Amino acid sequence: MSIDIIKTLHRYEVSLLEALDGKSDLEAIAKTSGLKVIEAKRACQWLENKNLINTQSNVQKQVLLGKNGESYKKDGLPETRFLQNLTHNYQTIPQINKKANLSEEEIKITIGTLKKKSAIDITKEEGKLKIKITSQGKKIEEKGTEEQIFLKQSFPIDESSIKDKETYKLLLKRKDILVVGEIKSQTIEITPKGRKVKDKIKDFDFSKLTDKLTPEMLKTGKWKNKEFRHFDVLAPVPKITGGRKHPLSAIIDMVRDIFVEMGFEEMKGPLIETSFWCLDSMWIPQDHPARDVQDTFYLPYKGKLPQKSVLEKVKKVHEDGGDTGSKGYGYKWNPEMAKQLLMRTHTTATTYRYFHEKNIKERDNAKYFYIGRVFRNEAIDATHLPEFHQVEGFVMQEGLTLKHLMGFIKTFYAKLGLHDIKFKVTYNPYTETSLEAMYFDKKTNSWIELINSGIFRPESLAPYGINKPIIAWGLGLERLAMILYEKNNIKEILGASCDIDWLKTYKIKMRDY
Amino acid sequence: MVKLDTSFETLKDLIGKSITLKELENTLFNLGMELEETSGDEIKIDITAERSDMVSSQGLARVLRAYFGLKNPDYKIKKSNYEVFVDKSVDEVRPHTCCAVIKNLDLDEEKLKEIIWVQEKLHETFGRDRKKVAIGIYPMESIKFPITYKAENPTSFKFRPLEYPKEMTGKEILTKTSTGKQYAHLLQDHKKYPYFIDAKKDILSMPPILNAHETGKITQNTKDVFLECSGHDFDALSKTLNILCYMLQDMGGDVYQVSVKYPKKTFVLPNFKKEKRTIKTSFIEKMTGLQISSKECAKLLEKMMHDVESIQKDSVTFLVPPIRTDIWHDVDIADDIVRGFGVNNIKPELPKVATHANVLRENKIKSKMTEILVGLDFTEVFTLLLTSTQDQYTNMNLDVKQQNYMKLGHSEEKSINMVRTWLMPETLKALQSNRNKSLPLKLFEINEVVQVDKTKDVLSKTQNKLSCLICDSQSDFTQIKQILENLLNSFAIEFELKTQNYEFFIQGRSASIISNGKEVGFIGELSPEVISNWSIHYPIAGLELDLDALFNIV
Repeated sequence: MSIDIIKTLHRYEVSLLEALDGKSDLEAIAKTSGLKVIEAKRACQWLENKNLINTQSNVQKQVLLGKNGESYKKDGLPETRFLQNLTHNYQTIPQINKKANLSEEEIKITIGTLKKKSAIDITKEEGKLKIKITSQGKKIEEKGTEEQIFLKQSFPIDESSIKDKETYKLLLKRKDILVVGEIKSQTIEITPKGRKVKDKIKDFDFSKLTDKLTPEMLKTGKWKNKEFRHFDVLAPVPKITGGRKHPLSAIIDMVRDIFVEMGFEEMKGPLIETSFWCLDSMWIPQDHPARDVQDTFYLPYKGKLPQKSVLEKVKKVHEDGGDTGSKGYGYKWNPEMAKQLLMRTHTTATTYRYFHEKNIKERDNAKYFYIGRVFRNEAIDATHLPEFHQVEGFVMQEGLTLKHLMGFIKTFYAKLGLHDIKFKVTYNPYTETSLEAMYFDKKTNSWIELINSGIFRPESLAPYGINKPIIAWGLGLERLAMILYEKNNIKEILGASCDIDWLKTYKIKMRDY
Repeated sequence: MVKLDTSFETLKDLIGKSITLKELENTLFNLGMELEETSGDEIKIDITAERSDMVSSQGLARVLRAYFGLKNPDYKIKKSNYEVFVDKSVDEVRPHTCCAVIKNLDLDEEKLKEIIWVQEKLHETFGRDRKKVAIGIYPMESIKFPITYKAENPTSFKFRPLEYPKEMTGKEILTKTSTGKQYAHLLQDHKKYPYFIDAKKDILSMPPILNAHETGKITQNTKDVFLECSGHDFDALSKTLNILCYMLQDMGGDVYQVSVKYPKKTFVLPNFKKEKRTIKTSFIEKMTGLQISSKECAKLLEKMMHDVESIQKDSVTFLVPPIRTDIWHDVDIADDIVRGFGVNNIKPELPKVATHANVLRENKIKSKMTEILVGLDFTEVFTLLLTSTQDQYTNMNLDVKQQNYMKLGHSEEKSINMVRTWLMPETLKALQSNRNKSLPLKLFEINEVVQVDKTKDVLSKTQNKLSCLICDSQSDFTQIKQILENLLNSFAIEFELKTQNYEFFIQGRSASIISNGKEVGFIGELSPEVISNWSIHYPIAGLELDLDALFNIV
């Protein structure tokens, strides 16, 4: 057993152990062992890991005189000088200070200190302060103040040896009188186990142990006769980091994988949209609160609308429902409003572009997904950002119903490892029925809503000639990321303020399906 | 979303059935609402956004009564000779009004508070902040019928606004009263402002702003009230009036009719006529996947407060209460059925939809690029798209006036005014906020930017870019050029560098990156001025690539 330990010893450790007899401090042992202090330090660390020595760190506090302390020791403290120039008759401050020669700040502190000691008596005449010495003051003057006595000692002094702690504290509070320095030292003591090893060192031939396998040995085959020094493989090593993909990228990859496993095709669309594609195209009425400047970033430009045939149909479903069987909103739809450019508020804008631009109506079925950035006109504060990512997927096929929407969401959640889920009916202007889907979070013992979904309304599909049902769901990517990485603040996940140390060390998230 | 503040006792009284809090919570959940908070008897309920008829304890209790199978009262209108004349002059500004009279109210502090609260909430939500619907309530004792609704030049009529000491003209009300200032945008662009005036020639109010002092305040002692809703959409006004009349009848009042006389047509209001609809069970199956008989369908419709008229073999004919503002299409009826049935009683099913999965080519490329850069010890950052001209240009030594970019309009956040056109300044921002971390800092970002493009319908183009920065006491051009070469060689992209100066790079230490005869990026050592602008104290070398051009993605 102890032979094995001996084989792990580095030559620094051997030197140190050989030199160590009982107890020593680090510097002394470095000297006697012939090691540099840094080498001795490392040897100590390794030996301690092997329980061959114990070390103890000590901090000794030393009190030295500061800049003011030096001069006060020589010339007397301001209050001593002030007191020396007082008489039993009242004098004004300038009269007293003629000889005392104190700065204004010193005078202020001095008067306070002396009042506390009842050494002076103050009166006010014609708006001027006048001061005389008291009998108590006279006594103090003769004996010297405690502070002055303290300064008479020879410095530096060890803090633990100070007897008049009160005066020490008072002086420490004053400017530049005392300075406290720390002297760190390390005491090393050999353990019984260490002693056993030390005893064996004498008889052990370290020359037969090799430290490093070298290319030279490999080339010449010299390694064949060598025994290698054993390493303490349990010893801690310095931490390193490398380049990493951003955690949000990792979550995007995870979500993309899930959609691909479920047979979805990826879409993309512009970040700046017309109100038409972001709102009007999906039957959101023109007086809907979602259009408020407070919620949406508008840009000072007007974009272009799609061809007339589509516009006419959108206008119709807004106004009277067209031939969808709907009543419509009963107002006059204004194409000018639809030209307004904005930062898209949801990725559904791209979904509707695809309905139109990819001529979805001609297909038997379609399954698309999108992960993209969306914007909300909000002030940036500790927990809010004006942008985040949305995930959205839609499926078109004859015969799809609410239970199929629920089926897709259940599968999607299951792929994230979330199995205990429930649904809640909700409202959304372009889907009916609309559902929120929540999962049960065991950690917080509560239902957490992550997914919003619905079946697109016929009024929102008719303009693009689509008469098959389309179901869709979406979720906030940062919300998912915050849950997975256990962060409470979106700013730790997105934006320039993310902590690079975390970006380099975050834990990999695996789906458990 | 409206948060209804009420007490559990009040609600139980109104429902007329003893239920537990858990039963209430479950029922609300099925209806799409949540019991937000309970403290003692006080409860807060999130009312689902589209159901304006539930914005009152009475309205909610009415829905719950139907859900629990209890009968709701018949809502009746008594005959009267009250008349309101609508003058042609309101056409341009606020063309419609719907009115009613309620008598024999027995108000107390609670009820009065509830009425005012409901008025406010309906204004905020369905009323679109008074733009679509504004509601006026007046004590009958200070009004003499007939009433006229007309519009006039705002300097030619005056009255004493509610809670103000002196008379003001219509124009003055918009600038001198707080409500006037708040809603001025609804009138100020019109030549004429609307008002209600009674037979004594007393002005009752100037909708949608405020009432007159003498005629415009109801108290606990008020027994009879005149109700009017004004706006642009007659149907919305009529429905709002019905919602209020239903609530006031639930509070014990009697509803009286008012003849609203337009120049060419007269409406006798309120109009409690229920819309007749027929729903096929096959449609419900098509929407929800639920196979239910017409009998079951009828039961669910009644549970959702509809009156069933007749049940056919495969359909149900029923009447929709005249207070529903959210029924446009049969899909909305199917939605009611789902709420009645309980969505969690439906079994999820995954259909087979055979499709080919596919990832966008650009995202595959971006993924591979990330792989290479991470291997070269770079850490990815994800910065914001919205930024400022200060960060994008001024801090980069570029003249804002010479740049082409997409500006933002009004922004709640003062520090942003544009959409980024390039990545490097934003990656620098990430470097800046991590400048106290141990060096070297090697960051990259692969993400979108927006460039002006007048040929597009959105006058802009969303593009993919890559930026890469090395910040270290020794970082220099050689290091960043090594990265560029390794990266582009990995993709077998042929490129060359061309000496070129940029405002943000040190002169003589930068180049443009050319591939296929096109400039696809730039590379160099950042100028000390730029580095200082970002309050960083170490040299930085960087590059930016236009990925769309490089990979011919577009």
